[in-house]
Amino acid sequence: MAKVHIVNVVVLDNPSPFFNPFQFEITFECVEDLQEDLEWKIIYVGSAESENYDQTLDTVYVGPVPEGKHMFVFQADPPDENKIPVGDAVGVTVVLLTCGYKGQEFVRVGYYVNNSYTDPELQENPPDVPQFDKLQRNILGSQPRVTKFKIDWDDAKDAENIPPSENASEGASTSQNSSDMKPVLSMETSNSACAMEVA
Amino acid sequence: MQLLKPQWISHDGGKAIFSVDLHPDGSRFATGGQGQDSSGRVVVWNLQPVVYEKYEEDEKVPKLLCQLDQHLGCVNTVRWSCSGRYLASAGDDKVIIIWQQSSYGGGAVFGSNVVNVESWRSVATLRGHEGDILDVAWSPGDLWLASASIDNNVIIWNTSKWPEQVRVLRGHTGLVKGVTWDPVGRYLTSQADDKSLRIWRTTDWATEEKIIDPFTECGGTTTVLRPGWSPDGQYLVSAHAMNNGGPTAQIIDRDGWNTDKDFVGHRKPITCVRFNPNILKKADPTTGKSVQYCCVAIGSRDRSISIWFTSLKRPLVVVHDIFDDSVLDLSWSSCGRYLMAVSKDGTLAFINFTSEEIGYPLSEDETNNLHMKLYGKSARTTASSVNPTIIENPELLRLREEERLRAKAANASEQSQRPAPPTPQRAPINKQIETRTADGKRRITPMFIPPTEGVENPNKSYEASFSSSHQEKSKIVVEKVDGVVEPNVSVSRPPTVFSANSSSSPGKAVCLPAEFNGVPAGLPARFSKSCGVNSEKATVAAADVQVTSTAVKRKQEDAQPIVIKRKRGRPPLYDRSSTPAAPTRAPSPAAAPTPALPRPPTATQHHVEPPHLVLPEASLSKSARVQIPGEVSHDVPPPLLVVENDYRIGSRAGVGTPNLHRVSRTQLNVVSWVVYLTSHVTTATATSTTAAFTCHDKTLHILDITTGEMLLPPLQLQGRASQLFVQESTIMVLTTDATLTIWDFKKRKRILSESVRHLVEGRNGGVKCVQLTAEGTPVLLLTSGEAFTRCQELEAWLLLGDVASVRCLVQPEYTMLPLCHPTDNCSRPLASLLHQTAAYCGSSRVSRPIISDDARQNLTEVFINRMLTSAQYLRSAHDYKFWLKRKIQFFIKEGLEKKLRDIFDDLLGPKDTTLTNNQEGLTWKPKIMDYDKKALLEEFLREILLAKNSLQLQRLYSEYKEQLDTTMIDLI
Repeated sequence: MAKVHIVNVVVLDNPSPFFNPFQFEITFECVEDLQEDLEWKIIYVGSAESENYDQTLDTVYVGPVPEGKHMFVFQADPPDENKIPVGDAVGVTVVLLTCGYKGQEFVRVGYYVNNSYTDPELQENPPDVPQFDKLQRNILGSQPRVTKFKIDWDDAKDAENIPPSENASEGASTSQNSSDMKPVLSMETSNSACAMEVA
Repeated sequence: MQLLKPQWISHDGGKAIFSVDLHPDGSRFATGGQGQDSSGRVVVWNLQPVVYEKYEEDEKVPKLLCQLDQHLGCVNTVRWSCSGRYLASAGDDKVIIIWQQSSYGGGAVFGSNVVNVESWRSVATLRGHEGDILDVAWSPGDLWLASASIDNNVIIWNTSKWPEQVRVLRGHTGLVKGVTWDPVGRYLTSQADDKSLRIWRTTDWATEEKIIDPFTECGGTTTVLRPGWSPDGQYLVSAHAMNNGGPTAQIIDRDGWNTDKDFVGHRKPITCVRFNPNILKKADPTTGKSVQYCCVAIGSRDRSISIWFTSLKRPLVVVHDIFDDSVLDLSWSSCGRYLMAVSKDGTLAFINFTSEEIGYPLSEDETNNLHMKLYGKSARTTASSVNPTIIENPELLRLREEERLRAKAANASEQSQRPAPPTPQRAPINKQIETRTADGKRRITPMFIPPTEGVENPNKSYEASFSSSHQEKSKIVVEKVDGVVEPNVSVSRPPTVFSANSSSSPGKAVCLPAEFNGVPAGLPARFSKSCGVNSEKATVAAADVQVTSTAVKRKQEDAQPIVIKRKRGRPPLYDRSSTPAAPTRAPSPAAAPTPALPRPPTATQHHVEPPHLVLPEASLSKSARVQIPGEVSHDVPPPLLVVENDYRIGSRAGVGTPNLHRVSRTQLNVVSWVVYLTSHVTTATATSTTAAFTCHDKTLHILDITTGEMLLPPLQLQGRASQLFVQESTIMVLTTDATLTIWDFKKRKRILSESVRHLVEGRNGGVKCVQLTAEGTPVLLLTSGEAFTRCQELEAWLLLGDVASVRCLVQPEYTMLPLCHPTDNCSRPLASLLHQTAAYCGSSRVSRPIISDDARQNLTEVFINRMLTSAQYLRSAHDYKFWLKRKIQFFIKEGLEKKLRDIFDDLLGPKDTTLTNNQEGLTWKPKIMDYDKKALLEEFLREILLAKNSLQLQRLYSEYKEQLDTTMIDLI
């Protein structure tokens, strides 16, 4: 089982101008003292089309992490606007907050981000060259998408790392034969088919 | 009787629910089953809204109290402890999690719409099973927890000392699918797919009875087989049994374990049996006399539930078609009037009886009195006396107490010696501290949030205030600390990414605000990457990690200008194999005009390598240093034999200059002698008198270490050197064609020349090293952990220890080697040899294949015996004693009394001392490997006392102790 669970993430300073730093207030709970630091990352998806435009805005180590609940604010600089494809500057994209332990990512939180001009005139006629200083960034903080990954924690014995096999399921041949089933629940106080036999 | 199926009780909209259990205080209940994406889920629910309609409609009354998604596989069983304090859950992820309510309030489950009103956190994670766990059961009085798994075992856990295992009950030969305790805690029952039901004694954990007859016709078609034990303890009722071709629930009488009654009527196999926890009483309608009886609910794969009284021959009620799929678990409330059932179809059924229907429960005192009368013990007495076994020998108690005190004293002294553990950094509670690491990244020490006192605020609204965003900026104070810190991370491990497990509730239900319309199609995929993308990313990440780690390393090296520090001595073989081509090409002077030679691609290696090569050639990196053994002084660093391949002479190294390689002896940067060579140096080693190295041109050079003078002209080897070892005047070379040659260069005599091809071929991994033992016996160590020694007389190689394929099957606690210093290789040659292979210690991490327990037990014994024989062969008394002790520990753990007796009898010697002088005395020797057998016996008998399950063996202890004492007196 995972030793660290994100309890909550509050997106701060939102909405804000494009060039304001990102601020996430992260609360997480740890079930056992961790031997090593956690590594948190903020990744800005520059373009939906390709991962090549992903920008890792910042990476921080968080530690030491004893058992219990912890909170910290993770602030990262805005993305380098020069690395964002012109066509993707305005509109919806994604910012990812990931956490890893011992070099293994175990949780990924994704947020939709909308970059739009606040000036109605610019909204109507967006310039060909994006004016990043006039853009406003709005993170959809209420709808995070959380993806968890199974990783090898400290003392995880080999047992935990083998993906669980399919649960022994019942033989297919003996599955229900619904034709003789009554559609409604029936109750009987006594049934000749259900008798306690005393041999 | 009311029957209800609350629609709001579901796991993620209809995922199978495998287990249900009502809390003993009747306030809540837990369900376990599948969660999102093949993960597991435990949910703690409020019982009130199920029982009372007004609470169900009241928005203010929470229904779901806590959802726990920590299990990585389907949760097959949830059980509250008898005290109600803990919840145990277990499932396909092979772990049991023990939960306890924590005083942190609740909170939303991040990334979902679920709000947890209560907070339950895991207090222990129990690992030990090698397969899915299908059932767990708390013993009466919560002394033990039993778990049943498809690894054919039942494990008994010590509830007062997680995660200690009291015992692994081996015996079943099929998947164990259910466990239950008798109400006074004297027996445990397990039912398995091996067509048997076993009753285990809790006094010595031996099998009391194995019941086969009713199960011979059974097939393993049920997910679970949860048997039940009546609250009066008189009857055990099994899950799926067969009688005349029809499925039944077998009634097993506690008196003599008779199986002459059964519950008949279900059309398909019975999955679960649960007794009402109370002994009930009711006035007989005809006679008016009060009748005592027990009540049992039976759930079946035929999707129906039947409820029976032991006083009636017909069921009280049968509910047909209550589910769309197999019933998987049943649970009664402690008041006895509520019954819950869950099914694979993902629904829960609740049945509410009136007291008139079900009867009136006996009070706890009455039940306990009944138990006392029948069995001389009750759940209450079980709880108070931690150790229910009779201790027959007062000495045992005394010794145990002594051991306990000694352990305590040892603990105390250890604690006083050691500085305070580095944990108290529980601080900052009002700020986060930021520091910088060497590579400029920040390291944040987060703000600790202490648990809030007082359980919860009654007026608290259960609204989700989570996953939000705010206009304002962070209020957390960030304290920046100057100075560089080292992040506490190890990047060495390549990241392994397991299957993704998305717990989000993407897209479908939620609609995005208007401004987020027009989400590009590619974006949602970014939230949860597919597994394929994942592994791809993982390898990329692995490469990245390597790059960064070397980069860091380089930085460290810049600080101390000696670049050659990186590799000391001969590099391990696997390093070599990763860049095997480098030495093959590099040394040829014509082909390598520049000193800075780019590494040729490994792909060409196969063409370069002649086909007859068995072993890779040794290689040294650009430079290497070997410490020269000798007297150690603290002031002066030891002298070093330094090898510098592609040595750059001055600045004139230009095109056309042949490559030079040099070997020198250096101490404190003072070079005492230097030898230049035109061929690449592949191995080098030094003793206090001699330096030896091999070159790529198949030469072996032997030099005087102090003067650098050649003791012999270069010796031409018959192949390139793979391994080199020197001890005093003996030199040992293993060439790439797997010929091992030993010379005595002082006497100028060849001692041995033999092909060891048969030892190294066909095994994974190569040769770790060759060496001579103190007695001059050659030893060959393989990276896979095999150690071979050559027997002079037999002129053959013997395998010491055991092969890797056996080792990986044996329980790791028995393959662990004793701690061993490099210095005591004289006293413990076996341990130190096997240590050098470094294969033994790692075996616990390797995933071990599931084999039958009998096989594993046998292999373990064989393994230990091999170790003993190896130790005997090497005449290593220390090793012998170590493995003999381990053998005894193994027999104690497995409870193999007869085998223990065999060993003890031998150690004790013939009982009649007068016989010692006769013919029997000829075979028995009072000593074994320099150890006095009686002293060993004395020591090993103590092992019995220290063992956790020692009480069953206490008679063995007393028996031998007495005999030992008498022989001692005789001797005096």
